[in-house]
This record gives sequence, C-alpha cells and structure tokens, in this order.
Amino acid sequence: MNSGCREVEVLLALRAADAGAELSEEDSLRLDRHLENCAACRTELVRTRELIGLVRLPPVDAAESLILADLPVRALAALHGRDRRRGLMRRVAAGLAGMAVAAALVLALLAPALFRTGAPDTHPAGLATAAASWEVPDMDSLWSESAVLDDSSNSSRDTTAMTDVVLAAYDAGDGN
Amino acid sequence: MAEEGEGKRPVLRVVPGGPERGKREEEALLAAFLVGDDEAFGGLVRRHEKLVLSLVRRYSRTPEDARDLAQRTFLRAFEAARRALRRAPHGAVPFRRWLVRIAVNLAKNHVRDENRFRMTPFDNVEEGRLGTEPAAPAELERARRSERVRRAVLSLPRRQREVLTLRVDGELPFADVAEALSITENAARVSFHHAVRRLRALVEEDPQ
Repeated sequence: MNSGCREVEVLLALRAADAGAELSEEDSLRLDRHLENCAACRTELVRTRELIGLVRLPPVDAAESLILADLPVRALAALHGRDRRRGLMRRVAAGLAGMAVAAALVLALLAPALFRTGAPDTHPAGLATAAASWEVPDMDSLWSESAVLDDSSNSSRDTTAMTDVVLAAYDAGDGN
Repeated sequence: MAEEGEGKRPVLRVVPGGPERGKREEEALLAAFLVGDDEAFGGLVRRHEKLVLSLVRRYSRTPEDARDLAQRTFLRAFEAARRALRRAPHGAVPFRRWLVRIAVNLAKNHVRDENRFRMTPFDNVEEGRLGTEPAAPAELERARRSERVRRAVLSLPRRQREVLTLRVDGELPFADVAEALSITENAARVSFHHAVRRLRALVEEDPQ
C-alpha cells in the first residue's frame, strides 16, 4: 500500500458501504482516479464489500415477521399499562399526603388541650384579675402576727431553763 | 372525551406537501399522541418500527427479544417526547433521532447485562434455516463465515460497533449516524473505516 492508497482508504470503505452518494464530487473523482490505476485497491474494494455483506443480518423471514407484527399493539398496551400504574401511584400518593395533612391538623388542634391540663393558669385575664385585687399589706400587723419577738423570748427562756437544769444535774453529780 | 375528540381533529393530520412533509407529519402525529390519540401512536410506531427493529435485532437472541427491546425503545422515546412537548408545546422533538439513540443505548446495556456473546445473534434462526433445508456446501460455508463475522462485530470497540451497525443495519447516512452518536460526520466515517479494518483482522485471527 502506497501513500496514494492510504489517502483514499476511508473513501474506499465508504464506497464499499454503498455510501458513495454521500461523498463529495471531488472525493468521488479522486477515488475513481486512484482505482483506475491501483489494482490492489480495486481488490480491496471487492473484499470490503464482501465483508460488509457478511456483517448484514439475515433478512426477516415469515415466522419472525409474524412475531414482530404485533409490536404497535403491544407497545400501546404497555404504554397504557404504564400510564394506569402511574395514575394509581399518583392517587395513592395524593391520598397519603391528604391523610398526613389531616393528621397534622388534628394534632395541632388537640395538642394544647392535651398538654395544658393541670398547668398553672397563665391566662392574661387571670393575671389581670389578681393584679387588680392586690392591696398593699399593713406592715405593722404583719410584724405582730409573725410573733417573731414572742418566739425569740420563748426561746431565750427555754435556753435559760435548760441551762439551770443542766447545772443542777452537774452540781448533784459533784455532790455524789 | 372532549380532549380525545380534539386530538383526532383532521387538522392534526392534514399536512402540506414539500421537503418538510415527513417532519410535519411526524410532529402532527406526536401532537395527536399527546392528546391521547391511540391511532397516532400506532402510526408513529409503524413509521419507525423497521428502523428500530433493524437496530436491535443484532443484539437479540430471539425475535421476541428483539420485539421487547424495540417496545422499550418506543416507550422511552414516547415518554421523552411527552415530557418535552409538555414543557414546550411548540418545541421541536427530534423523535427519530431519539429513537436511534435510545435503541443504541438499550442494545449496549442489553449486551452488557446479559452474557449474550456466547451465541451469535440470530444463530438459532440461521441454524433453523440450515437445519430444515439441505444447504449447498458453498451456502453452508458462507453461513459459517457470516456467523464468524457477526460474532466479531460484537467484539469491536463500542464506538466502531455503533457506527458500523447504524450504517449497515439501520442504513443511516453518515450525517445521521454522527448526529445519533453526537460525533462529527468525519469522525463517523473514520470510525467506520477503522471498524472494517479491525473486523477483517478479527475474522482472520479467528478462522473457526
């Protein structure tokens, strides 16, 4: 194979594949001129044509075409089946979403009632009532009612009495 | 149904002549399909089934297998068209190109997923033919060579195999082959040439 052969080898493969019409006029002429003068490339063209012929699949026979004949009907049935399944899935998904929304709404309505039972009344109206009825207490009466002084004096007396008892017991012990 | 009635309006089927006729017919059929016209769906399948089946046959062990692959190809293309037309009702939908691309991808995945290279595609068909009719030695020899070549096609590098089969099985012009594979037309031509060279080497390496 010389350089001239290499220049046209792609064109030769295309012509062998019956794609000659797709070649530009210039390429086609170039290939023709080369083939006129090159026996090796003429042989190559025949061999390539034969090889491509062997690549081709056997034609569709009667039995095969019978099987392939119902392609449009089957494809349509498959498309409808797919559409039905998708429609069903969409409806199920929409139903589930609706149920979820309804559950969320019910929970939102019931939650305050469930969680506020027994809790201190922090309602603003209750606070306002308590604030309105509150009066400043009398500090003197609170002081006297607390009986702090009385408790203190009682405590002092008790302490003295206890001290006396302990000393008496000690003296008695020393006496023995 | 009102919508279906609208989908079957004659206006969707009346198509002016001219170089764009086929394209417009296809657009009208797609529009009718989108509004639920089953007849339009059938029309689109019939229009392209030969091409799609020719592309997936090579990767199928049985005619049923080929039919299933073709069916999946159509369903995917219709889904894609439906989505595209809903998004842009007046947008262009290159349905045929999508079909080719989807068929190539499905075939590629089919080959990858299943170990189908052990048997040359449609060997059973060929064997059946040869088994029922007494074949001349020359015919038998040609059938065997053809089987070897078809096996070799499946072991080509992916790009070369795709270009070769789109051209030989689908009989697509190289411009369409390039478009389907998102490569330049020149790259498609060169890949075809490399595929032929490599194929010959593979067949010569494996004379059995």
